[in-house]
Parts: sequence; C-alpha cells; structure tokens
Amino acid sequence: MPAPTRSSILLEGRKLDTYYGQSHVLRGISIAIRSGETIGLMGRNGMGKTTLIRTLVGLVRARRGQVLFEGQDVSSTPAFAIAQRGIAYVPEGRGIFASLSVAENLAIGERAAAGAQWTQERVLHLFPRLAQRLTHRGNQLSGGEQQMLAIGRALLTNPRLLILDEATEGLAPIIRDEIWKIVRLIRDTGIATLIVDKTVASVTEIADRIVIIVKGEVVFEGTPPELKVQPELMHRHLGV
Amino acid sequence: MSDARDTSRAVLGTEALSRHFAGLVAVREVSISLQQGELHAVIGPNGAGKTTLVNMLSGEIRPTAGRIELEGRQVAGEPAWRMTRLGVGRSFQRTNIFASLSVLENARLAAQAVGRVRRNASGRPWCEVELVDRALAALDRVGLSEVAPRIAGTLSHGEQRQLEIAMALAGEPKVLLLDEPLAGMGPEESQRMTALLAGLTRKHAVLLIEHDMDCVFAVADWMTVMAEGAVIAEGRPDAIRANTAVQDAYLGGHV
Repeated sequence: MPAPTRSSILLEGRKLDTYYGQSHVLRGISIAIRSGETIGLMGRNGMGKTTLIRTLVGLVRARRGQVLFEGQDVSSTPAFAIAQRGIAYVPEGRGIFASLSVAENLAIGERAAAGAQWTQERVLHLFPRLAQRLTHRGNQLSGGEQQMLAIGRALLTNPRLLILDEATEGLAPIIRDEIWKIVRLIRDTGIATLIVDKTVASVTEIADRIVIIVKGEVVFEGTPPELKVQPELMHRHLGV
Repeated sequence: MSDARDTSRAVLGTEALSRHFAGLVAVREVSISLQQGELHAVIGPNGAGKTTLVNMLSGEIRPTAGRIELEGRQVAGEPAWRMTRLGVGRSFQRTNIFASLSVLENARLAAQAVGRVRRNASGRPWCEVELVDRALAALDRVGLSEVAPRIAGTLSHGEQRQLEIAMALAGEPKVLLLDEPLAGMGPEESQRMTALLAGLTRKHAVLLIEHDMDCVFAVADWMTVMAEGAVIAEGRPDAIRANTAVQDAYLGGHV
C-alpha cells in the first residue's frame, strides 16, 4: 500500500506532544488517515493510543504540533466543531446515555442532511437487535447491544471517519464476531475507520495499515503483511 | 478427568436463586455450587445475568427469591460487608482500587477491612505488622511484591487488575468471585493473569466470569453457562465446548 498522498489525507496529526500535567504522553507523534482507509492503531496498555485519539478529535489539546482536517488546521477547534466536520468517535466504555431509550440515543446522533447515507432505518437494518429494543433504556441493554447502539449512533452523524476505541472489549465471543462483521460492512461503504483493539488477528485482517505506538512514539507503520513478517516486533510491542 | 463431579466439598451454593428488576428477570432460578479447590467458570452472552449472580453472592444486591448457602449457613440477603467478613472476596468488572495510595496501602486496607480476625492464633490482637504481613503475602501471590511502594494509579492496567485480586486475597477469603479479571488486557497480561488464576484454587474456591475463552478453557474445572438469566448448560470444559446449544448461544466459532 502506498503512503498517503497529501491530497487524500482526511485527518492528520503532525508532531503532536500531549501532556497530562507533568506526564508527557505523546512524544512528537505523527499520523495520517486518508479517505476510505482503515487503520489499526495498536500498542500495549498505557502507550498513548486513547490519548492520541482524544488529541486528534480535540478532547485533549496538544502542547506542541498540529491537527489538520482536510489540510485545515483544527488544533484549536472545539471538539464539537471537529465532530461536525465528519468525525464520529465511539469511546472505550461506549458512552451511551443510560437513562435514555435506544430511540432517543439514536435521535441524538442523527444529523439530518439531504441524501444522507446513514438514516435511522438503515442503522436499524444493520443492527436488528436495536430495532427490537427501541423503547428500552440504555442501561437495560446487554454489553453487546450497548456497543451496537454506540456504533449506530455514531453512524447517524454520517461521518467520513469513524473511530472505534476497544469496540469489542468485554463482549462474548459470538458478539465480538458480530461486531467485526459490522465493522467490515461499514468499511466497505467507504467510511475511513481508525480502530484501536487488542485482538491482533482481527485488526490485521481488517486494516489497510497498522500503526504501533510505544510510549507516545510510532515504532511501526506499514501494512498487515509487512507487520506479520516481523514476529519479533509483534512479540516485543504487542505481546504475541 | 471423570465426568462425575465430587460435590462433597461444597463451600458456596445457590438454590433457585432469582433476581428481578422491575419487569425484567435478570437471574432466573439459578442453582450452582462451588467446591473447595475448584475453579468454576460462569460464561454466557452479555446480559445473561452473570454479574447479577455475583452481586447477589457477594451481598451487593439482595435476591428476589431463592437461597444462598455458605458452608451450610443460609446467607441470602446478607450485606456486602458481612459477606466479606464471612469469607467471600470479590473483584469487579471495572478496576476498583485507591489510585492515589501505594500498592501496599491498598492491600493493607483490604486486609484491615475484613476485620473478621481480631486476634491471631495465639489469641493476641492483630497488629499493624501482621496486617502488613498479610498484605505483602497477598501481593506476593499475584507477583506485585516488587512494586509495593509504588502509587497504585501509576501501575499498568494489567498490574491494577492483579492488585485488585491481591486486595481480595488479603482478606483471606474462602471464596473468590472474579468478574472479568482479564478485561482490557493485552496478550501478555492475559497470559500472566491466566497463570495467576490457575494457582488460586490451592487455597480458595473460585468463581470466574470471563469472556476470554483461551483462559477459561485453560483453568476451569467446572463450567456453568447462562443465557437470559437461566442456566442452559453445566459440565466439564470439554463437554461444554462440544455442546451445540452453547456454541449457538455464546461460543460461535470459538470452540
């Protein structure tokens, strides 16, 4: 897979340094995600994956470096405004509204636009389980259903980039398979996806490119086949 | 191993245990038993009622109906602090530690909180040194002795999960209830935790809820499968793996 060309890049982080207080989490990290591409962001716990995502979407401000969306500097743009440009973020822990119904959770995400690709009808077709539980509150759903609701709500914003942080964590094996199947379907619609997940086999199967970070720095960037021929690197940085 | 199960060493058992939340039946007439020296895994789809079952066993919530027996004593409805003192330790799906305290302080507080043993074998009151000894012994069992002085919030995710188990062990429980101890772990951390779990049954009856099937099938002596609040199968791991109803409801291709 060729390196992203400048014109096709959707979201880019350039030499980002992010801190939590004195703790220096991201150390000059750069990443580029182009339209329609699926990136697997990997690395052990505590290496900065979620901080990188939070920096890219504006929830945490980098102390140094730039975030660009379609070439425009959004480093100081509020998170909601970055989201409105077409980024949907499904955080670890799902972040659904526990006291609202499934229908209400979906309505909050819905961004009506003429010719919108994702409508509530299409989301419910993708997740028939949600269609059966429209009146149930968020906290009455199983973990798998909550994850489906979080992804469905994100799709209703009609994003150009979908970010999934540990979307299969804590789910039963059969539900994990279902989530991966849905992620593949979403990828095939042309939405760019940034996936953080510990299931190495699944991520390398679905991703166009893999980025591995260690202590806030990129230590590998390449295609899944390029990663798989480096078992020592996989063992050292992913523990497999 | 024989398919027959020796049930003569039951430590904790339930009989027709149920819990309703408004109109929802979260746990429906579940009867299980934990044997001394046995690791009993409870698996099932999300929403099957596994955590509600553990919450009843640990006294976090009261059952709507049914019995819980701990060493032959009826304990259903006892509050969590009482269940802890009676010898039921637990860990949670989400890590529950004191992030701003040291690793040792976390374990020592857990040893102190049990409060059940007020005197040692010689009849003397427990003193600080003995609490620290118990805390250190628990940390040693989970492999965290070397990081005892560190602030708990600075540990890796895997180490924090190990600390939570050490906190349960520091109370010297007869029964350990572990709710998804591998949640959020990477491959190496998972392997380390699996090895730790395998060693726990020497001193405790262990009930394990876990979605990591590599771990479950490596450590379980007996398995119960729940779906929609009820038990749909139980047996030895090989029998569960071969059970088509379990494959359809839960395992999928992961057999």
